[in-house]
Amino acid sequence: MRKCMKCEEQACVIIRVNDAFCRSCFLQHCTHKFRSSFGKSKVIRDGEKVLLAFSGGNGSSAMLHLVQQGLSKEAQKKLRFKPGLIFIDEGSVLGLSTEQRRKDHRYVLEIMRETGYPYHVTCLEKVMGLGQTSESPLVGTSTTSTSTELTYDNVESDLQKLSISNTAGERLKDMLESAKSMTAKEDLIRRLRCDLLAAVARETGFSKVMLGDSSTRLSVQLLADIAQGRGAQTHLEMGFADDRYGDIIFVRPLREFTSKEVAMYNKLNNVEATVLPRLATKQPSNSSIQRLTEEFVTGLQSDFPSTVSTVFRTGEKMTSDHKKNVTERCAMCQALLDTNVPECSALSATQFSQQISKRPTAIPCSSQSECCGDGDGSCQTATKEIVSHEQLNEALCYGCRLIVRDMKNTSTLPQHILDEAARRARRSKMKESIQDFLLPQ
Amino acid sequence: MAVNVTLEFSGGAELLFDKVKKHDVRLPHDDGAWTIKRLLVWIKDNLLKERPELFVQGDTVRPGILVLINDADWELMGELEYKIQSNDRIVFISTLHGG
Repeated sequence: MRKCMKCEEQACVIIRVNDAFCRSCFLQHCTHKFRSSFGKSKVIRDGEKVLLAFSGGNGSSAMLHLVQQGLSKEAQKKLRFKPGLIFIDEGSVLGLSTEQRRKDHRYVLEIMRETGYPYHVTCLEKVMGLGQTSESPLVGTSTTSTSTELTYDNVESDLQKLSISNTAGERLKDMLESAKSMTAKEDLIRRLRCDLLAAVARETGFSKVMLGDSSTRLSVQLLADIAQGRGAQTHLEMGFADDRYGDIIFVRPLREFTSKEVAMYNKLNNVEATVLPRLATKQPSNSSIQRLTEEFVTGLQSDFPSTVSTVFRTGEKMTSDHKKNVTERCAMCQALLDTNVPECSALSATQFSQQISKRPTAIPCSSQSECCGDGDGSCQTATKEIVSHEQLNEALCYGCRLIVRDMKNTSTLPQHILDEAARRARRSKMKESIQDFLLPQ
Repeated sequence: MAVNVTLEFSGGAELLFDKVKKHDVRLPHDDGAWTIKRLLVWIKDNLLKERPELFVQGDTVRPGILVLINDADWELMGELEYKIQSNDRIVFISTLHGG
């Protein structure tokens, strides 16, 4: 039996290429890595409220356990922030029945209750109604309960708080069905999940959101993103802190842990992860770009254990070279727009070849020459604006344009995205018409 | 000699086994020793309910599935060639899901 490289005890796990660690040295290594990532980045201040995105899976369970350990009184180099938990139910993506979703939540809610931290629950379909004042509140929230007594009644009342809205569920389903490929569906879900997390953080008064992505997951995401035209956003996705939402910052404290380390950490601490099925579960490997990339990277990793760290280190180093005057953000993913490029660029070449090779599609445009009402409030046109394809594209980065290009019907997108695109179109039109009166800057 | 082992599946791997995480199995008496390699074939034939390619690839586990023998990394134990002893606990953790 091999010996631990640090303390000569019997080893129980091999990490990195060939380093054997015993149980206690491994756990020490993990906790040290976790806590120092906060110290190094200095992003989270003492006493700050941080929302932990908890899905019940391997990564978020490990993250939760590490946070609990880090906040406990006996910890050396104690972490000092105030945690809260958020669980997003994504059952509507798979069309699960309310019964099934309630059953799935049960385990996750129990785990969250036992931590004693304030926790919130919401469902992905709520993102369809963001920004609409008539919608019901985003989250069901626990009160900071001092008793951790777990009775059947307590859990049932928590479940009641999560009102699963059906109309929003239908809208989400329509939107996903409108996206033809699974690649687009997965990307769309990912972007909307982040949107929802940011909105929940704003509503509940948290300024930071913690995600449990491991370096393996991030490396796969990096390559898949580059394949989907999101190369300009890699530094946002790979860094410790992601500040694209401005007021809400996403942090990734597990980004230096491989998925093997995460799984081993959970096993040694008897952390039970409940894995809820997602869109890509049990799908063949060629069903989406993300799936294929995952297969590629994990396959390579098993024969060459330095694959993930190489991809990760390289991706970390990439920074974005933004022109100073680009301040506009993509309406869907909130990254800075990368489409304001000179004539002789790869983007304009791609767009040109797209234009000359596609058949003109008829997008219904509901512009009427006269208002149907009498100016006294009897106007019959729909209050929701119809945004044209061009107007929508202007407000999106290249990667999001590709998602939208894959959709049959862009009006199924969440209203807040369409509204933002419409707003910008109006603004630029207005700017054009008053251009002569503006003083040059 | 028949060998009794406990198999556990977690991290999402249990979805391929009817969501049952723990299995106590009795590997039948055989002339050759039971290695992990043979165990995988046995699991594929007897326990796996669907999508074998998501668990087994070739003669080894699919990349991304961590195998632990009595709470130790199988890389330390000889991987596929490890000879299974009675009452061993073999855990298969999928690292491909969840985050």
